[in-house]
Amino acid sequence: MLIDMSKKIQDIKYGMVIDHIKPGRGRDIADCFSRGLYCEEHPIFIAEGVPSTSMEKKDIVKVEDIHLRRGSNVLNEIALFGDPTVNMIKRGKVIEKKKVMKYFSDVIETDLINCANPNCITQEGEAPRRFYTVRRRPLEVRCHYCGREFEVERK
Amino acid sequence: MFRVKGSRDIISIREFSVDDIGVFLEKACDIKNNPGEYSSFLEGKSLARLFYEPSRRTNESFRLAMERLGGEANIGFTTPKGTSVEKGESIRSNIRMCEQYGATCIVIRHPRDGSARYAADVTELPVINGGDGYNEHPTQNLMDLFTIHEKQGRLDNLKILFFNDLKYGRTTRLVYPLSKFPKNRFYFLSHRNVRMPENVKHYLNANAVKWEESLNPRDFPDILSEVDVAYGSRTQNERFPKTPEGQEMLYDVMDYVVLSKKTLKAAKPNKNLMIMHPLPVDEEHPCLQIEELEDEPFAYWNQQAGNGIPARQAMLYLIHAD
Repeated sequence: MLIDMSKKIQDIKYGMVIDHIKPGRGRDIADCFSRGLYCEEHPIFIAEGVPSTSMEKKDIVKVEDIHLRRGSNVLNEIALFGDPTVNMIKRGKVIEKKKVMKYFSDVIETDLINCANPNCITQEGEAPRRFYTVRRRPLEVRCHYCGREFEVERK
Repeated sequence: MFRVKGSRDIISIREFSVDDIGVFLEKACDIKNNPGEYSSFLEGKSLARLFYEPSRRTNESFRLAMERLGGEANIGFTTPKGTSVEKGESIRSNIRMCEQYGATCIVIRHPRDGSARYAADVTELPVINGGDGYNEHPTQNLMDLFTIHEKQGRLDNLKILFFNDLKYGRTTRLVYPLSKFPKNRFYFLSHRNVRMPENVKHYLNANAVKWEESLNPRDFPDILSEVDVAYGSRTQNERFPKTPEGQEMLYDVMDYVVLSKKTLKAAKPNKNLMIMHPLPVDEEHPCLQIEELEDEPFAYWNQQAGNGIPARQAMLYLIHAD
C-alpha cells in the first residue's frame, strides 16, 4: 500500500475518488483503505486543504484500480469521518457519484467504533467489534454482543 | 427439534417466540411428572460448564439436570480461581478445550455483557447463556415462566409486579417473553435510582403492552392487591458504581421497597398471588422478608428454585434432541 503525499494528485483512469472530505481527515480515510486492502497495487493519493466552493477547504483521496461496493468495511469506516462523496471512475469518467452513507451497510465490523457499554465483552479485546445499523441519520448502531444501542459520534 | 431462530443456542430470552416457549413448557412439565422416562436420554453426552463467576443455583441445577438425564457435567470449571483463566486464557481457547474433551453442549456464565453471544460465535456446539454481566439470564427467565405457568395454568391475562432493583436485576427481563402473551399487564415498583430501564418501557409501548410505574413504596399494598405475580429482585450491590455518588445511590435504594408480613397484611391479595424471587436474598437488606413469609401460601421462591432442575432438563433435552 502506497500513500504518496508528494506526488501531484493526478487524474485516474480506473478507481475511486473520495471528495468533500473534512479538512484534516484525508489521512484517516487513506488509513481506512490501508487497513481494508491487503495489496500494494492500489496507489493512494491524498490532497489536503484543497480550495472548495461548498466547504472552503477540503481533502481529497484518490485510489487507483479499485471499485468498492456497498457492504465494504472500508466504505463503512470512511462514513465514520463525515459524509464525503464517493466517485467511481472508469476509463477516466465518473460512472457513479454518491454520498458515502449510501454505501453504508447494515452490518459493520470495525475497531473505530467502541461499544458504549463499558461492561461489554468487546472491551476486553478478544471479541471482534461488530454492530448493526439501527438508524443512519444520526448514525445509531446496536452491538452484536451486548445489544446496547447508541449513537455514533462522527469523527 | 428446538431451534430458536434456527440455532440451538440459548443466548437471549428476547429471541424466544410464543411457540418456542410452548414447546419448552410442555417438555419441562413432562419431565417433572415422568422423570424416570428421561433418565438415560443423554447417556454419552457431556455438558461443559464455564463459570467465570461463581453461582450456586445455576451451576448446581445444570449439573443435576444433566446427570438426571443420564449425561455428564465434568468438563470445565465452576469458578475461575485456580484455573488457566487467571493466567489470561481466552474464552475461545477454553471453548476449544471443551470441544477437544468431548463436550456436546456448553453453559457459560461470565461477568461481561455479550460474552455468551461471543462464545456461541466461536463454536459449533450449542451454547447456553448462564448469565452474562448485567445483560441476560435466559434460563432463569424460562424456569420462571415454567413456575408461573405451573401455578396459574396460563401465561396470558396476568397482572405482574416487578419490585425493587429493576435496573440491574437481570431476571426482570422476564418482561420480554411475558409481553408476547396477550392481555398481560405490568407494574413496576422501585426507588427512582433503580427504575425499570427506559428501553424496556419503550419496548412495551412499541408493542402496545400496558404498564404502570410507582416510585412510592406506600403503594405496595394496593398494587399487591391487584396482581397475580409479585416478582422481587435483590439489590445488586456489586453492580453500583464504586464512586462516592454510586455508593450514595446504593444507600438510598437499600430497604426502600420491602415485602414484609406487614405489607402483605395491609394488602388484600387474590388467592392466586404468587411471590417470586430468584434468590439469594440479601440477608442485611432484603427486599423480601423470606423468614417471616416462608409459610405463607403465596410464597413460591423455593418451588421456583426447585423448578430450575426440570426446566434445565427440558432445555438440555431439547438442545440435544434431533
